[in-house]
Amino acid sequence: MGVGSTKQGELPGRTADQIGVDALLLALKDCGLEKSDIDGLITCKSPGGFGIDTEVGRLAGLNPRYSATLDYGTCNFSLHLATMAIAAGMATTIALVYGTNQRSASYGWQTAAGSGSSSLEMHGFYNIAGQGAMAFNRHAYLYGTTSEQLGWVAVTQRENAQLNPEAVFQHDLSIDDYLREPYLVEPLRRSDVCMISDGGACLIVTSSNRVAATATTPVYVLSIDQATGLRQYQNPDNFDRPWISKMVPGAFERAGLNRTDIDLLYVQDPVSFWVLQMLELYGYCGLGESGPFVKEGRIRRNGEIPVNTNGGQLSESYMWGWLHLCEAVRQLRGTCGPRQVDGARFAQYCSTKGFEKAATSILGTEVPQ
Amino acid sequence: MNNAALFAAAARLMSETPEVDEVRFSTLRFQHCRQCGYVRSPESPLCPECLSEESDWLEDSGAGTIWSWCIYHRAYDDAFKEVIPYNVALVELDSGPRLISNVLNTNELRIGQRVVVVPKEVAPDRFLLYFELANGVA
Repeated sequence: MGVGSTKQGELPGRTADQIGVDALLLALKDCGLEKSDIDGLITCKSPGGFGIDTEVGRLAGLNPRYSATLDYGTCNFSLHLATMAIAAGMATTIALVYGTNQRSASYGWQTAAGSGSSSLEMHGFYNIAGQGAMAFNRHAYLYGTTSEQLGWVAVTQRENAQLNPEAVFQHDLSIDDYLREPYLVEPLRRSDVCMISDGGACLIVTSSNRVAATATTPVYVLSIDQATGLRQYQNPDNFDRPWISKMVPGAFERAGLNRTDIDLLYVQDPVSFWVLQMLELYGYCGLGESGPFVKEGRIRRNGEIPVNTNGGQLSESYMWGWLHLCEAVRQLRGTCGPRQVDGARFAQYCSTKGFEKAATSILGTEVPQ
Repeated sequence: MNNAALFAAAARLMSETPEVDEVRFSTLRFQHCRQCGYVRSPESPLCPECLSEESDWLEDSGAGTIWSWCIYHRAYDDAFKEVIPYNVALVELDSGPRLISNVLNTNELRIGQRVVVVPKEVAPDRFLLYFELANGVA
């Protein structure tokens, strides 16, 4: 695997697809491959309708055997498609590419929260912060989870970001600072909701018998799994996504691992509460126990399961989860400098496409026998 | 909750999006499947349970319970600048469907509170369905 990520934050004057190709070049350099080694391209649509494989391929001068575009990459679904295409023999070495200029281009974020009904807008239900606030409120009602407990997600991720030179938000954020912030969508505050930023990321995936040809320590995809709740509001407890937990045993079983073998957890975090939700759905703590779990520091870098060591979308950059996988690969290679988690061998990444789809990948420095 | 400002914001957005199907009924009603009785929400040409196309539109009692709520302190669209702070709630109706809407008259909400639907004509022949606390109890 090769990984490349551009500078994050504001990249005025560059198109989304240019930024994606910038990341592709960085990833090729990272693993010592040439553009001509790439025979698969999987792009991810970015705000504004960019990131289409036919456009990115033309810009990058690629005629790969296989190409595709996913509407909702989160890098996880992209990685799964690449893994399947390689297993099917349709390609040997696939570049996953995402680039966005959403901050510089100021795309509107006043779109309704969720899909299926424009009457949502007329009721003022905007931005993922709406669903996140409702889901957290429900959790607080059922389990007594507090604002302070939730705040430790943003605070912990900021601590990680302060050790990550690429992170956009570096300023101090204590739990007292957090609790002093005004509500954005109550009970969520500004630091509970992801930023808007420009940036690009690329991963290069190949088959395990080819990794010897690359210049880096290999990181293996040990298992992948997905689940859906496509019926959305027809499902009870839609914002809780209980169907996600169905795929969890299989994901660990096929990786040949137990949950306790996982050294690093990455959770796509458009809002902080999804970290609490995924800790529970993936079984890192019991249902309703995630609030005390994070307050006790168990997701910190020196805790039992470090989460989002890059700072996540709350503090590093909003790259729709792509940087989470880049960080997982870099941590498993042991190249993360001051924020490196020593001896990390296995990592899990969890992402979602709204309340309709979820994906998880388990990566490792070795294939368990 | 500033009801008047909320209705004005909805009317403004409605004038920008003339084709929203949900607003054509002056009362809350759902399609009930003739084959299995499932109550469809949102509107659908076929039943998501048994895939039958046959259904009857029946008026709903509009009684339900707050599943959760939130309060917007920021206007993501200019139309809501005069409305903040306002609530949005997910209501589970006794008949099954779940609706996203606003609870009028108050922002003091609790999960589990009983609510009842209040249709409001926000523009000529265009209706939105809001809720208020049952028995007016806050």
